[in-house]
Parts: sequence; structure tokens; C-alpha cells
Amino acid sequence: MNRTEWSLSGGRFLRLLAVAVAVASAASLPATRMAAQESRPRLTLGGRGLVSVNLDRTRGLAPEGGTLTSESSTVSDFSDTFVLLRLDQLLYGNDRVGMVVGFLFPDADTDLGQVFYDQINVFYDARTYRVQLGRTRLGNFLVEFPTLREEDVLEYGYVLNAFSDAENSEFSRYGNVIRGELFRWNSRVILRDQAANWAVTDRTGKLLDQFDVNAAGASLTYRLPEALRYQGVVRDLSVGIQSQNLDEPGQAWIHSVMAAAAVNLSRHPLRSVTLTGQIVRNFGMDGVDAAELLTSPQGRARASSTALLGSLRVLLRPYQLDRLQAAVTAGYKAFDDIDASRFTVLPNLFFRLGQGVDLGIQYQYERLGGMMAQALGNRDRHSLKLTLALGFTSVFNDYFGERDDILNIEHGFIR
Amino acid sequence: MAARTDGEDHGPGGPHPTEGAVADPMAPARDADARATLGRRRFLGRAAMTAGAALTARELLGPVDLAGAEAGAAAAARKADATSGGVRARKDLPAGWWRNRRPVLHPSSAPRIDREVDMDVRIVRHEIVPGYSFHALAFNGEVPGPELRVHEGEWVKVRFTNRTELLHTIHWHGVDLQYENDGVPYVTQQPAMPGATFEYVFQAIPAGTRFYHCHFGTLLHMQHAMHGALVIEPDKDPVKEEFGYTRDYTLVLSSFATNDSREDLNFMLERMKQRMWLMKEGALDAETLAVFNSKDDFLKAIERGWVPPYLPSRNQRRDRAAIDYNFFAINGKAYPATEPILIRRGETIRIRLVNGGGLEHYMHLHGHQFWKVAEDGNVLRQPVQMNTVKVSPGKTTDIVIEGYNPGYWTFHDHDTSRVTNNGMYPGGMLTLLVYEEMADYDGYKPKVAIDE
Repeated sequence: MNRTEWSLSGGRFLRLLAVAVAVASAASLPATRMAAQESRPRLTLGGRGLVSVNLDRTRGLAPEGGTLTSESSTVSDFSDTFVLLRLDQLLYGNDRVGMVVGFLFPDADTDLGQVFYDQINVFYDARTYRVQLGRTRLGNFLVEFPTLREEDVLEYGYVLNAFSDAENSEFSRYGNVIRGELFRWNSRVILRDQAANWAVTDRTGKLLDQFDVNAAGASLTYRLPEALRYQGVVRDLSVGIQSQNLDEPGQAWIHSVMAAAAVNLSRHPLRSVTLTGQIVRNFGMDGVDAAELLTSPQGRARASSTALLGSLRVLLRPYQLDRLQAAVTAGYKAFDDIDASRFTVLPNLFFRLGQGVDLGIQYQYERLGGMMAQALGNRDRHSLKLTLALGFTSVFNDYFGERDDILNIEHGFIR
Repeated sequence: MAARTDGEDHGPGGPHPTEGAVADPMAPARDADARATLGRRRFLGRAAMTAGAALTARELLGPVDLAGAEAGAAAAARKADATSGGVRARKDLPAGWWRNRRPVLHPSSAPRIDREVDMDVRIVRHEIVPGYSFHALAFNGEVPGPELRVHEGEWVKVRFTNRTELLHTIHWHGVDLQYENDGVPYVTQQPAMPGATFEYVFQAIPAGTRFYHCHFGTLLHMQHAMHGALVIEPDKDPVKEEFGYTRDYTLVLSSFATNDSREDLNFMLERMKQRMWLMKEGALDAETLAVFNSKDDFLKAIERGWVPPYLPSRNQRRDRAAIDYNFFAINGKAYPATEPILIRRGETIRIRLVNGGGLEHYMHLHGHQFWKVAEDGNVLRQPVQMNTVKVSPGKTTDIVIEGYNPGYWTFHDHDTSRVTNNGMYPGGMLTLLVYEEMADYDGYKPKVAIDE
């Protein structure tokens, strides 16, 4: 079974989900026949077309000693281009139930196939809580960083998948989850709990049919609603824990804790400056040679480490229109008990040509230190990406609001 | 529905039908002769009635307060020669009366303030019909805004406080006033900022049914409940003299696009919070606010590459020409939450229709011919008899209904797409004209149907 099939067939978890959806669909058939009284769901179509021209230069360690330089270029890298479809329906009691289906285009060298179904989930959304079930984000990070692609800082900004030896970022970003969220203080405080099935592969990176719950996590977040993002200094303050159950002799769990903050250094809505930082502490496996772990993706996820990631983002919004974003993001990760580390710095500049349309350039430098360089065979990497991207969100049949709409949080909840 | 009454109100202490004599108030509908008589009566108008005719009517309609009927008949008789073909020419108005305008005075010349009113605007949750609420911009928290009644010539001061984070004004629609009190943002005044109070001072002229509404972001603000009736009562009311009405109702007609307005309000509030920060910091520029000191400044901004918000590249949030109106209200309520209009046999009532929304309404009364007596607040020289009256956006229309046909009668927009609640018929802009005597009648009683 290749990865695309995994995405489509889903195994036990998704089969159960499919059965539930099928039952729900069958149950709703009589209602759909009553065309005159049909209440159609709201439809949200979103996506992003992202294509970049990449130039990479890597200086590695030659087997005979010294350095070895290699260069490569990619004419069109359209990875992380995605399309998302959300359908949600208001219930008689003013709660809502929805479903999300989405796919993205993974890196060509990830062996995931042409498309990866990153979102296949249903959710129940009430005023103060939300339950989500299905394939979606793993919840293994707390804040987002202003990089061209999420995978650019994957090693620094995420709790990595300790079950996967596949060379892709998707298995560390998406999984099958059962998630519950509680919202308090007008949606500013969010308590999130989840149990999840993270993708499991063998040592060659081949996906295994294991769909049981193998991870759990929780987080507590204070967050300004997006519409009020300039209304305070603290935009985000979060702590979280992620635990992966290896279920291996002598090592049941790997625990990681996370903390993050985002602050408005300038609340000027036309010239905002935001500082964001996150730390991920991975307590790792006990009694394992860390040096051996570094040679595989799974091993690096299992090695005890501390990762720091921070960014400074300046957004110019003349006339309250996003026009220019300049950001620099830097990350550092160090492994415990061994001389191994990695560091990256990533400045980028995006110019908004029209609404949702960005022309951008991003440079990334990454340096691997100590045993990390030996394990991966290179020391320095320079990457330059030129991109043109179109992002969009269109809502059709919009007949109810969102939980964190200004009207709902400041003028009495209606939805 | 609040009816304005005067000393002739047929309230609890007023005239009542003869005790125990309400045998058949539906008689007109069952008696062909009676229908014929009524038809002729309506054709000729009340002017054709005499005291004897009133007695005939009493026999046909059932018991009617004799004194009231005779008085009405006598008044009608005085105009017997003035009615023809559903158009009644007034003979008692002096020639050229409509040209008599009072001069518009500057507020500084006001000898005194006769009426002081405090008004504010807030965002409230308004239940238009049981089970469905939306966020509304509401004067004094009411939808529509409170009815203001002043006497012609009075000097009025309105202290208007903006309790929202949006900008607002009040435009006094149909009032002749000094221009800086007209409430048009950036034309006659700076809009009232959040938390600020703006004082309007004007002399209440001319008399008639006027209204007020926010003139800032009119498409959203006025049509989203920021409107209310302003009745300027004259010293000498020609309609009162002509028809002797005893109750005076005001029906504010509103059409709401609740989904569009929710989207707009959220967008506006987010944008205004940011602009308020800029204002406090003294950093709000003309291009961000999209308000320029002159046309030249505006053109220069365009030359500098400023992208005006009306360009499709900047604003395609929705097709504004296709606002999806989904709820329609009379005095803020949609049927079946609307209040009935009460009348008694032999009674004449006045109804002031105020269209505060963005759609035309064609108000149709069943079972009656009524008189259209005023438009835009101005009394017509010739009242016109009709049963359906068009009320365009921004218009007020006054009608007079004579209570000659007891029963339960629907009064509704005859564009029946507005007699709906979120597309479900019946609902919306519909109410009932109810004869109070019907409480004693054991015939068919109206039900509450909301899904036909």
C-alpha cells in the first residue's frame, strides 16, 4: 500500500469514521427529500496555490575528510499547495456540525504519492466546546511562524513523530485525532485535549497498518481572537504536553512539553511588529545511544532534545490592507548528552500584489553541529526560494457566524 | 403596537356596543344587499351618509354606537359635495396652502428649547420573531428607534450618544432644518465618534409624519434598525378635521438582510477598532479613513497609487446589488410577532407608514377601502381611496381607515416575498386589522399559521 492509498482507505479508524458518516447520511435521506424545507450547509472553499523556484547549496563532509559541496535547483516546487472544503450545518439547538475534506501536494521525494489527504474530519461545535474527529493537525505545536512552508522549521517547531522513519513532514503534522476543546472567557482561553493515532512506519519508511491510539496531548492557551489581534500586547500564551506511547520494552512513553508566546511589540494596525517564540522540550527515550538515534527521522524524534524557535515579523498594512511582510525566523535545537545541534536562520520578504496574492523571497541557512553533521552527512545548507502564491477563502450560503466573531464575543452570543 | 389616542379614544371608558346585541358582526359579508349598500357607500364615500344612512348602516352592520355614527355622518355630510370617484377634494384648505412654508431658522435664534431628548445607539440582540434573533444597531436599544412626537414649531434638542465602536449620525428625514443639523457625515457634520455625544438642535417643521435614521454607512446602519418615526403634530390637523380619527398608529416598515449585516458588522467592527487606535495615536490618515478634504486630495491619492475601496481588486466581499433580505418587520417584529391594529365599528383610525428599509412595500388591507391622506408627511390636497398603497424606501405615507366592516383583516405587503420569515410563508410584513367587537363573536377566529 502506498501513502496515497493510506490516505484514502484509512484503516480501522477511518473505516469507523466512514461507517459513522454513512449511517448519518442514510439517516438524513428522508430529510433531504423534503426539498422545500431543506437547510443547506454553509460551504467554505479555501486553499493556497504555492509554487516556488528553489536553489539549494549544501556543503557536506566528504568520506575522505574535508568538505563536499553540492548544488541543486528545483524549477517548480508546488509542495504545500492545498485545497480545503468545509461544510457545516446549523443544528436545531444552534450548535453546528461540520466536515472538512482537504488535500495537499507533498514533496516529490516523500513517497507519499501525488496528493495527501491532510483533512478528513467531522466536528461538533457548540458555544463553549468543540469536538473533532478524524484526520487533521496533530496539535504538536502551539504557534505558527512566518515561513514560506511549515516544513521549513519542522525540526524546530514541532514535536516530531517518534513512530515514523519516513522522510516527509506530513507524518509529523497530520494524524487521526479525537479532540475536545473547551472555550472560556469569550473564546480567549482554550483548553484542548486529544488522543491521536500518529502514522507508524517500518524502518524503511513504509507505512504500517496501525491505527490504534498511540499518542495523547493537552494544551492551555490564551489567545486574542483573530479579529482583535491588535487589541492587546499578548496575542498568544500557551503551554502544552504531547506524549507518544512507543509501547516498546522498557520504554512506554516519550513526553514532550511546549510553551509559546506571541506579543505585539507594536500594536499599530498599519505597522504591526510581532515577536513569537516557542520552546519544545523532548524528554526522549532512556538508555539509548543518542548518536545512533540521530541517523534516522524516528531516532531524532526519540532523542531527548530542546528546540527553540523565534521570529520577528513586521507587517505593513497601509489603508489596513496587508502589503508587505518582512520576517526573520531563527531556530536552535540541541540534543542532550551528546555534541549535536542544529541552527537555522530564515529571513523572508513577501509583497502582496493583490488580496491573497503574494510574491515572496525566502533565504534559509541551516548549520548542523557536531554529531548531527556527521549523522546527516552535511554541515551547511543554503536555500533560496522565490515564490508566487495565491491564498483564498470563499464562503457560500453563509447563514451563521463564528464563535469568535466580534458580535458573538462582545455583543451577546447568537452565532 | 402602540396606538396614539386622543380624547375620543374608544378605550375602556369609551363607547361600547350595546350589551348582548352583538348578534352577527359578520353580517356585511353574508348579506348581498348589505354588500351592495356598502359598495355604493364606499363609492360615494362617507359624504353620502346622513343620519338616516347611519341608522341603515347600524341595521346592516349590527349595533353601532349611535352617537358616534351620527357624529361621523354629520361630519361627512359637511363634505358631501366634495367626493367623487375615490378622490376627495378638500374645500376647506385655502388656495396655495401648500406653499405656506415657515422660514428655516438657525438654532442660535431659538428663543428656547421646548423638547430635549436623549438618544443613544447600541448593538443589541433583537428577537424579530420567536426563536430568531440578530445583532441590531438600535436607537435607545429599541428596534425600531423610539417614536418621537413633537409639536410643530417646537425647538428640539437631541443629545445623541454613540455607544458603539462605529461612527454614526442622525438624519432628520423630511425636516426643514439648518443644514448643520441634517446629520449627513462629512457633508454637514463630522460623524459622532465612539463614546461621543452630538447635539442636534432644530425647529420641528413642517408638520407631518417624518422619520430619523443614521446617515453613516446608510446601507448597513439605517437598514439595520437605525431608524424610527418622528411625528410632528400640527396646530391644526387637516386630516383630523377631515376624518375625525380617534386612534393614531405608526407602523415602521423594515427589511433586514441579517446574514449580510452580520458579515458587515463584524468587518466594520474589526476595522473600526483599529481605526480607533490610530485616532488615539493621531495616526489616522485620509487614505485609511477614505475621507479627503477635497476632490483634489482624493485625485492626488489616486495618482499616488492609493487603491480605493470600491475597486473590485479590493472589495469583492459580496455582490452588494444582491443583498439577501430575509426578514421583514412591522415595528421591529415579523408576523406572527407583529401587534394587531385595533379598531371599532364606526371608528376611524389613522396609520402612519414609515419605510425605514431598503425595499418598496405595497401595503394592502383586506375588506376595506382606505384613504391615502399624506405622503412624505405632507397632507395631500385630495385624499385618494385605495386598498393597496406603495411605500418606497425613505417615504412615509399616512392612511385613514374607516371601521365599517367588522372582522379580522390582514394588512400586509403585497409583494408576498416579504410576507416571509427566512423564506417561509407566511411571516414578515403582515399584521391584522382587528375589530374589538370580534372578541364577542363566535365565528372563525384567526389561527397562527407560519408554514403554508
